[in-house]
Amino acid sequence: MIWKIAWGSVVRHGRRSLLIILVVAISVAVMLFVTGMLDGMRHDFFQTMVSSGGHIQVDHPGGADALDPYSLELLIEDWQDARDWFAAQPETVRAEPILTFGAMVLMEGSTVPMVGRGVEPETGFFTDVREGITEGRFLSDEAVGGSTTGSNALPEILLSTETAEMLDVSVNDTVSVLVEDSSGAPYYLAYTVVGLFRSNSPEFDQSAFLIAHRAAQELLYLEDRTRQVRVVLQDETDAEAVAARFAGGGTGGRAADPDEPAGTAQPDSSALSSEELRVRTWREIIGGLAVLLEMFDVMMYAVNLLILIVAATVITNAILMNVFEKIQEFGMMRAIGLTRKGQFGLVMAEGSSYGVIGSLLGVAIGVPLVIWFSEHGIYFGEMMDSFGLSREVTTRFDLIRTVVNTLFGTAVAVVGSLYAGLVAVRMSVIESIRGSA
Amino acid sequence: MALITLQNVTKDYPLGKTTIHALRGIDLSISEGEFAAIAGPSGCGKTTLLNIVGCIDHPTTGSVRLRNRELHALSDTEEAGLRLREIGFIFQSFNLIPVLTVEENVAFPAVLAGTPKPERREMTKHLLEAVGISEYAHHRPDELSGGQRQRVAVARALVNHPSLVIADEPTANLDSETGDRIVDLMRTLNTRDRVTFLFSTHNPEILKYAGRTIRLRDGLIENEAGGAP
Repeated sequence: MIWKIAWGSVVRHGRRSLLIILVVAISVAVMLFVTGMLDGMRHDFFQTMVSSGGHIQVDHPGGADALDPYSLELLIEDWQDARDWFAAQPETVRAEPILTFGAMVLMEGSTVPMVGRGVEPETGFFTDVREGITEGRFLSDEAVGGSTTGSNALPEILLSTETAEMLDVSVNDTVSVLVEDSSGAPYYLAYTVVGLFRSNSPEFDQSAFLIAHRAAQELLYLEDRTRQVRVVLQDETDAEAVAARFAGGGTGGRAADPDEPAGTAQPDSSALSSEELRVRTWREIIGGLAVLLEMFDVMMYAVNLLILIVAATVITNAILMNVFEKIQEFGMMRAIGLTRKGQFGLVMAEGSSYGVIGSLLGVAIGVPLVIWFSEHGIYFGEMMDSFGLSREVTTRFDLIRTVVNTLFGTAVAVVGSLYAGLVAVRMSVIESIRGSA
Repeated sequence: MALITLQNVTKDYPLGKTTIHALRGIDLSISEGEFAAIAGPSGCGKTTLLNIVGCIDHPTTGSVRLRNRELHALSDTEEAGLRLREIGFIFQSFNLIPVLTVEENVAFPAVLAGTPKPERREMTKHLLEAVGISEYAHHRPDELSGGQRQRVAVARALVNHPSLVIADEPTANLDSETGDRIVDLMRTLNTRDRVTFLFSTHNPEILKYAGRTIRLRDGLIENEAGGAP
């Protein structure tokens, strides 16, 4: 009967109940949407970083203090062993060499200083470049050119649309790339532009071009050296453990797989001299940017807290008004035997009803919004460039977060009722009947 | 045997810098089975006296005893229990719970008292028949007339078999004919079931039903007429 009285009150004060339920619903929906959007930004930011940098990087130890990050003195020789070791680990998704170098791109008198990236044509990195091809195609298996096959085909190059406009080139045009090779001599080769791209990062687009890893080695006269081995893991939280295993010279790898035949030879990282290699996880690679990721989390909590405070204030006031409007009714109930505890329970039952209905309504509004924008995205424009974020942000749906926000919405209404309930029960029976404290 | 005894009860209300002396020293004893009326002009202290007897307000000084039990010694929960089981209330403005049906309103104190459902249902049915509104059992209070609502209030006051029923101006919001019927109903319950009634009124027509009339003036008992049955 207590629930019937509470529910009856919800229905009887329809307009006010609707207001309270809407406040809870809007709060939950906004919390779901904002946290979904921030999570989307966080995920996008992290994916952008990982898609180009990976979770683990193995490179030359001198890179830490190098004034010129593209110095050809800072290359690694045993990169294939390192790549094979990482590729054999159960946590690894892929391990690839990346060869970055400074270069000038030339086209009929126009010269643009840029950073070249030698990548494997089937690379899993630079997905935003692959997906951002605006004209032409990504590097192919023939990207190395005719030098290895004996044909006259030029090696392939990918330029950003921005660079192409600067150089006034388009797909199938030829550009030259000038470098100082490993012997210190200037050297250039001609490349066919096979594709133009627009990545998620305008900064990257302004300075980067992509050629095949082998083509980059030829251009720089490197034989079999490279800049880095980049590794992507299934779970970023494994990065420290895998890196430590590698640095510790462990054999690790897929030998732990019970399905693997016994005695299968596994790459041994102890063969790689740790003095010649530097192993860094994504936390070390992105350094200060990791703080930005944590900032996203803090922002999520702060936004939620702010919404909760505003909602709690409105709900508390609305429930307080409700309680005071019915204070004589409560007084009468206490006169005929209802205890303070019972009266408190009535207020809380009413508040909980608002909380549960409002939260469910909030989920009904918020979840479709989050799902819709996870597919269609929200365009924020160039303002996002300075944060290193995509101009279009997609929200991310998370079931646990939805459940937590629903519980928060209910909790806010319960907390709002708590205060109203305490104020009401502090009044004596006669004060309640008279409707004045 | 005295059901309730008041000794030198005073009640003061601070009002700004002054104090209103609502009761100035009341000595009163109500016996079981009485049908007693408290009469007097507005502001004489009738409602204050009933509130103190009904344990919903406390005297400033003096002693109130119910079956020789000192009321001021009770805790808040004990007071609530006493109001639930020993005292029934009938209010001037009916004060029914609007979201409950007539049947549920009558049963509400029994629910609070933890009376088993079958017994509660039987008692509610019996009382609704006794006050003559059983056909409205499933109606809500706003579908009833004033007289019907007050009958519901009478039934509700009796559902836990209280020792004392307090009615504060039970006919004030009713027309005279309906008011007569309500007091007649209360009187019938008093004589038939030996329920003790203490009610206030300033309507002389109602006083003719009272077995004993206590007249108040300026917070003091001016005179009494009649006596314990």
